[in-house]
Amino acid sequence: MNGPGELVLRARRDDAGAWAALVDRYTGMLWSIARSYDLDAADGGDVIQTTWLRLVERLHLLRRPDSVGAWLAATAHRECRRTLHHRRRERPGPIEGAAAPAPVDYSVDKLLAALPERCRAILRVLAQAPPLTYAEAAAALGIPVGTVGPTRRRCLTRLRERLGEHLSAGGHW
Amino acid sequence: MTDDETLLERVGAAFDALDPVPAQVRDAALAALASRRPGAALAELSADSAEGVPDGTAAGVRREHGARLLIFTGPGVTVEVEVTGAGAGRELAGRLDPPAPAAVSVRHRHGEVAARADRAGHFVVPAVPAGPISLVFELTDASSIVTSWVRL
Repeated sequence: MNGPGELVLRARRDDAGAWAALVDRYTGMLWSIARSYDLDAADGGDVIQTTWLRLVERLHLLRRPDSVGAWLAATAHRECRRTLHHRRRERPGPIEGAAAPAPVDYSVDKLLAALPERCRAILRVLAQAPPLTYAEAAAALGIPVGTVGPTRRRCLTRLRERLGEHLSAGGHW
Repeated sequence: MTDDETLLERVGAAFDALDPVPAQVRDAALAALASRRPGAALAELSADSAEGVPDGTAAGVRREHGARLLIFTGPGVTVEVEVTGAGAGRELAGRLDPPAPAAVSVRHRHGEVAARADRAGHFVVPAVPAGPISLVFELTDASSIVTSWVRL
């Protein structure tokens, strides 16, 4: 009933509620993608707005409404790359924080910060509520869909190990 | 000590607390639906001199005196736009092909700027702000064309 494909069909009829449901389902995912490129809030906001506007302009042309999540993820990745490209053009030379796209410093949370970047990124995407499908998560992360499950398991195991160490050292989360 | 779902919930809560989606990002997404023009023909970005070739088509877009050239292609129509200037003083100068007079408006984050295309399809739109923009052409036969959104 309220699957993404159904929401797209309703949004085509200018159903604001369906559109809001799409926005709430995928904006967190899009934000995590923008952040994975180390974009600041202004650039990240622009990329996400452009991504939604792009969906609106081709809402009636979308061939596979069910795959709207993966479409949004791919569009956001493309816009993020474009933005990095622009930034490098505008400010030639090393750009602070943009040399290695991806690492975002979540130093506030030591447990997550202690995980490899790859794990942090995948756990962030898989922690979206409501949960993304594996196909959507794969598009958001730019990895093959078959690797989502195994990576998820490995990263959760790592996190659980850190958590165990942390708890046994008297910490709490 | 906890199952995967509970652990992921905690991860989600941690990220929400550390780096929440700004409210204006969600607001802008909600407002995007109002830009829908299902009756207009869509001309999609086929070349952008600022980044070479976005989608493998129309290689080798020329650049003149630092201006950015955007080319949008739709069913039977091409829109060329040259962007000059910076900040709030950006100017768009372009051409609609096949040539036709039209009412032109550039939609942007804060509203829109209106102009007219002459018989040769030429138009100039001053004072376009940075951020996502899209052009709309209302032709004399009541048909309309919109371009894909691009970021200036």
